[in-house]
Amino acid sequence: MAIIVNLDVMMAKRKMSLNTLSGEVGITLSNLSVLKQSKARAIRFSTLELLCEVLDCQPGDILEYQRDSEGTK
Amino acid sequence: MKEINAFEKKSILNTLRYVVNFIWYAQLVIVALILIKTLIHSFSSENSFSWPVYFVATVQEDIVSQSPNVLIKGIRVNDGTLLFDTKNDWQANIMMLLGILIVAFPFIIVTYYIRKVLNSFMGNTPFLKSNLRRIRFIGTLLVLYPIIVYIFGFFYIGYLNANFEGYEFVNSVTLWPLFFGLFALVLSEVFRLGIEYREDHNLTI
Repeated sequence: MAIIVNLDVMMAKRKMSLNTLSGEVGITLSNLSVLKQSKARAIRFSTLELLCEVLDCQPGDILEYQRDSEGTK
Repeated sequence: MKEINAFEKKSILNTLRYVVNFIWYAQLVIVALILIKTLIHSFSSENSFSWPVYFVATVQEDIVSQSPNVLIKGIRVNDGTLLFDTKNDWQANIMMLLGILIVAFPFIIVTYYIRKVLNSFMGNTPFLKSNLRRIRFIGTLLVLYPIIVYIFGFFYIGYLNANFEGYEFVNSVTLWPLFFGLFALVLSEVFRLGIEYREDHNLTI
């Protein structure tokens, strides 16, 4: 997929576990796991806003675009 | 966008389930009765049965075979029913049982799958991959049914023409299962799109 979700990188930078993030953002653990594994098909602006707020970052820190030819996931 | 009105909101699911359940049980009883009747008659006398082959005969009166070696002893022209002398003739009995199975099998399978699909509607969503497979199977079966019957009829009419001299039989085919089959295939595409929308919805975080 061309869009890479760097949620795990941001979580590691903020030293935050999946459980904590799930509780603070208000997303179920399974949905957060889907997002972390880049299996999600879409993300709502409201979810992105909450993630940015809790992780204190910009959308660009969580999402990254990579060309398919560069050996993406 | 215009909202759906009260009439459109009303579900006919329960009525449909009753109708399909009735057809399902009636079908099983009828097939069982026909099989029992065939088995009882197979030890006694002449038996008659209509194969799923449609043909046009050029005469009006019933046709009776003059040859003692022919499996089919006669043809009732008005309804296309064939007469088998089933007494102590295993070939004629097998022909009859095979005919019953060929006629009944597709309709039993179709009713069974429609029941399964309707029952799955009682859950959260009907847009399941299993329903897609069932509806595609129903569609394919119904589309292929007239084609198979036509091919089968081709050989069958050949047999009739060879054994009943002086008469001419022409293969004919009924097309209504084809239209139902095409409708089922269209419906399966609606289900495929529904499944895709549901997956999109589930995978939107």
